[in-house]
Amino acid sequence: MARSRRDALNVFINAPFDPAYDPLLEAMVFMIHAAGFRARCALEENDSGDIRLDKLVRLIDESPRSIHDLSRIKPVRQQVSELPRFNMPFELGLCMGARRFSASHRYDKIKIMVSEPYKLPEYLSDLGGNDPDAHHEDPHQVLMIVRDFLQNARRGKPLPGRTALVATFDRFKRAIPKIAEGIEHGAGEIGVRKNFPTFVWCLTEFLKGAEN
Amino acid sequence: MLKKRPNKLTKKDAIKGATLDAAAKKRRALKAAAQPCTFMGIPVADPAVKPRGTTVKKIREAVAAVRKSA
Repeated sequence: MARSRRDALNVFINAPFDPAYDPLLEAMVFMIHAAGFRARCALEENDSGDIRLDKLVRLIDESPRSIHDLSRIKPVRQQVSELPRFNMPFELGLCMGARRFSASHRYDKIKIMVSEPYKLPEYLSDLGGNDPDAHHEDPHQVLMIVRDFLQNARRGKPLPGRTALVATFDRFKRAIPKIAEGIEHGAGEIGVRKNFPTFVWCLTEFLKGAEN
Repeated sequence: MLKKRPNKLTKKDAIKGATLDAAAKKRRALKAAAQPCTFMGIPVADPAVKPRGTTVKKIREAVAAVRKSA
């Protein structure tokens, strides 16, 4: 695979893509762009010819920062086998391996999120020494975790406080159905999982001048 | 021997200068009228992939319309 260009603004998202997780994913993408960074995830491309692992490796290679949510690794009860979801820990392992064994990824930053605190060592004891942040399934808490993670590498002025961020996020969520109508889409057709590229463009255009 | 160029502006130079001035003036006006590309002082980065089913221009117009109606 050809070596891809790394962009200092890229933040790789490793999170579950299911309807129940949408509010948390929206908050994560919102905060990444509000902090002046660029959200990258497997949803941005829809190329069936692209092997999934190659796509993930390319995204990780291009992103010096990554956010991993391990809150959805419970067994899938609808299936007979009730196997847990290994995708998120696997992608976290890829990022940690890149950081450990690749000189160009030595200074990559990794944030791990979980649903409840102090439970990670029970199911992933190898990460017992890491301190994950617990979001308690609250999108506003996700905003703060991502904000604090990106605060250390901020661009421009210091990042806004909780009140301003939550207010802008809620305003964006209210505006998205109207923006969708304005671009000849149905009110529910633009979503973080449904049409990620268009959703992110709506978000960035909304953020530009949102303080006015 | 090389012929030294006279140190004065020709008519052609004057036209070229006027055109450049006009272009710079137009650029300044467009920059002044453009929407800020920051959120609370932080530069907002454009996404990596183009939107699907629409254009960035249409999204920009739709966002502006929503902002105006709010």
